[in-house]
Amino acid sequence: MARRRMALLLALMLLLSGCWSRLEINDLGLVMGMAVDVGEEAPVRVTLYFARGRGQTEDSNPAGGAPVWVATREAENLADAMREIALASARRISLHHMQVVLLGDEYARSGIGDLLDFLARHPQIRLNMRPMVVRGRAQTVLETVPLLKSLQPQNLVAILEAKGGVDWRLKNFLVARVSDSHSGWMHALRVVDRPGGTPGSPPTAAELDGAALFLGDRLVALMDARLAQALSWLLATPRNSVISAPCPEDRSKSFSVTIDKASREIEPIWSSAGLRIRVGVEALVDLTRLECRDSILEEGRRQRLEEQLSEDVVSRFEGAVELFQANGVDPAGFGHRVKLRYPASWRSIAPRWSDIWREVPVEISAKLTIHQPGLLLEPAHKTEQEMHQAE
Amino acid sequence: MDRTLRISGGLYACLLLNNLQAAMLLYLPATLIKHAGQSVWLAMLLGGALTMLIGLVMAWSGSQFGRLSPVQAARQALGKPAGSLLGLLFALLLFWIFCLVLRSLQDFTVMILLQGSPVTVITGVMAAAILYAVWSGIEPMARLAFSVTLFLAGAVISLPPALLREYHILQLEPILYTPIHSVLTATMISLPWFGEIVAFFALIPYLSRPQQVYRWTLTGVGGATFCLVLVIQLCTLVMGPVLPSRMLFPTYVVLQTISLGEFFQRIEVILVVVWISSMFVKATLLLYTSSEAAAQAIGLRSHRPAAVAMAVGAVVLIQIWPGVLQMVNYGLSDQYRWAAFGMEMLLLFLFGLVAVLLRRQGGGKAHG
Repeated sequence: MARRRMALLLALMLLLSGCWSRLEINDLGLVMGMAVDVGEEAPVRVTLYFARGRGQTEDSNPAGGAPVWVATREAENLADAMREIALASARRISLHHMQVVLLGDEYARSGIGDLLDFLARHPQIRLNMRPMVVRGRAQTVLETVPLLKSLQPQNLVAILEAKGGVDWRLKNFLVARVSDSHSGWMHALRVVDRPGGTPGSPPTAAELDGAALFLGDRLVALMDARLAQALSWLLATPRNSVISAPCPEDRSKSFSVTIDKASREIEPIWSSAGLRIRVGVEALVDLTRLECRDSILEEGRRQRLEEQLSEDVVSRFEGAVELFQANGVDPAGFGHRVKLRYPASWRSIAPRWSDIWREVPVEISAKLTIHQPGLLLEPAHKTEQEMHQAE
Repeated sequence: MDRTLRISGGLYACLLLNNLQAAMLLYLPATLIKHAGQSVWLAMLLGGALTMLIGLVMAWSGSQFGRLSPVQAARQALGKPAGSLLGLLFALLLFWIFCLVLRSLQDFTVMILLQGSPVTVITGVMAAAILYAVWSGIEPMARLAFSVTLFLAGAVISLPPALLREYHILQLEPILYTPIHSVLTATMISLPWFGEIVAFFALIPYLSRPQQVYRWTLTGVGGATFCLVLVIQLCTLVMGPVLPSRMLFPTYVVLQTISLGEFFQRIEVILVVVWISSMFVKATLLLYTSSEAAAQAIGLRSHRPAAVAMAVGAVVLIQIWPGVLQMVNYGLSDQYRWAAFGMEMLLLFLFGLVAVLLRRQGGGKAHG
């Protein structure tokens, strides 16, 4: 009996060796990032960013020593473009390690439903990768040499992480895409010239530049970094965000704070007068820079700085909400708050929310408190009071 | 059956827990969430409560059989022809569920884990491994179930904190937002899967303390329900109430999103191995119980020849579905749902009848 068992086990071992569908690491082309643009000769242009292993980057390699291979092809659709790249790749394309997908703004405006379906359907792609919209061609970002990381996709992810605030990924976009109570958005990027760089440093760099707003699967507006801060605050704690505001008495000068702790309250109110939404934001901030000649030890003067900051924050929020309403998009989920507060009423307005939202009054209030002055109690320069005393 | 073999109540509960939750976590979450939205927890709780009732009826009936297997009890109470027929019916249902489980394992492995491997080889190897476990008998299977349950409990309990960064208010629905009739529909969909508890008629005679069968049945069903509620609800908390309903394997996608501090990633493989082990336990139990019932119904001395025939038959039979879509279409069709649940309830009724008859005759006597 024992012999028979042993024979069976040995037979199983032959089958369980795991060699049948093996894929050696040397046979894989690891894609770290993908860019999708409108093509020039075909509808879609796909660019894949391959990380090249140590053995591939030696000087003896005719392709040179670059740690990456950026391959671009145009085709009728995404799958065909990927196949075209596969025909030029000596390694099997693997999307397991893809960290970012970049969309050119022109492509994003034409609708990204096909891309979303491809990404969500592909078994190798994880939903926690980051989608971003690029002002201009997305391909250029992957062709730009990263500054503080060796691979551009890692560089972009690291920028998002270092920035802090809302962590918005493919999963979040897909949730928004199928939701009736909020719409999708993505971080926006741009490529900037760096004429003043040190010798040998890359002439261009990719940087975050606000947010891209979607209605359904189409890009409808790009918002600048200042307004995007409000969106970030509406969705998560904007810790480490920097806010600069003009000085109360001399608007040519300014001061800056960093958000330490923040909260926001979004309260929909449905009364006989209709629906309105009240947004209240509060934050404890650290003073990082002060051009104004105000003494922050004096409560009255500090209050004026805080009021100035609060006004600035309110204007950012108002600008963001205005942009949302003008485009009928709701990336911050105001509709979702209505749904949570008034579920029964929501059912009747859900199909028309995009239109209703354009007309909903939003009242915004902000209260920012300076609680950390850095290492100075008074400005490093003379205060207004000291100047008067000197006179 | 070998009447010298015994398993404790705890091992019985472990087998029950693995048997109820494993397959449901693969194919059911999308359909349940599609109907019940974020109220899926309520649908699962109702399903669990009904299963407890079914389990209690089963436990009472089974405990009337004494040390007889359900087929032996049926042959004693109804006479050999009718009892054997009932035994064959029982074996047929369990064998068909075994086929579905094996096919689920095949699809998941080939699509997600070992892409490119030939289907027949994968399925053949799995069937051989299951057969090997069945060959060894009930006790090793139960001990395997115990160790799998420990890992499963660890995995399930660690999921909510591991997914902490994935929760967002935009993914929440108002409480009980889904209409109650949709919740009940989801419960109905889950019933045939919960109804597979009737397989445990075959395990009750092996219990070392049969008087504790009620307690351990409730423990097993309760554990499985807790596991199902937690994991399926997590799918909706992480991906909202709509997105997971469009996915083939939403639980796997949720596991894929686990990322602790951007460095501790890709741990879904560990969790999937635990879950596949759970499926393996279920498949093993189903092949064992079906082969034992078939062997007793046709008068074989051992379940092993029947187990070999059934394992080979299953590997061939499950290839009738050309792909996973056809399999899902079948497994979630109204036709299958009502046929399976109807058959499960019919067996519950018939074995209940056997129990009543045996009770009148003065209880089950152990003979072959």
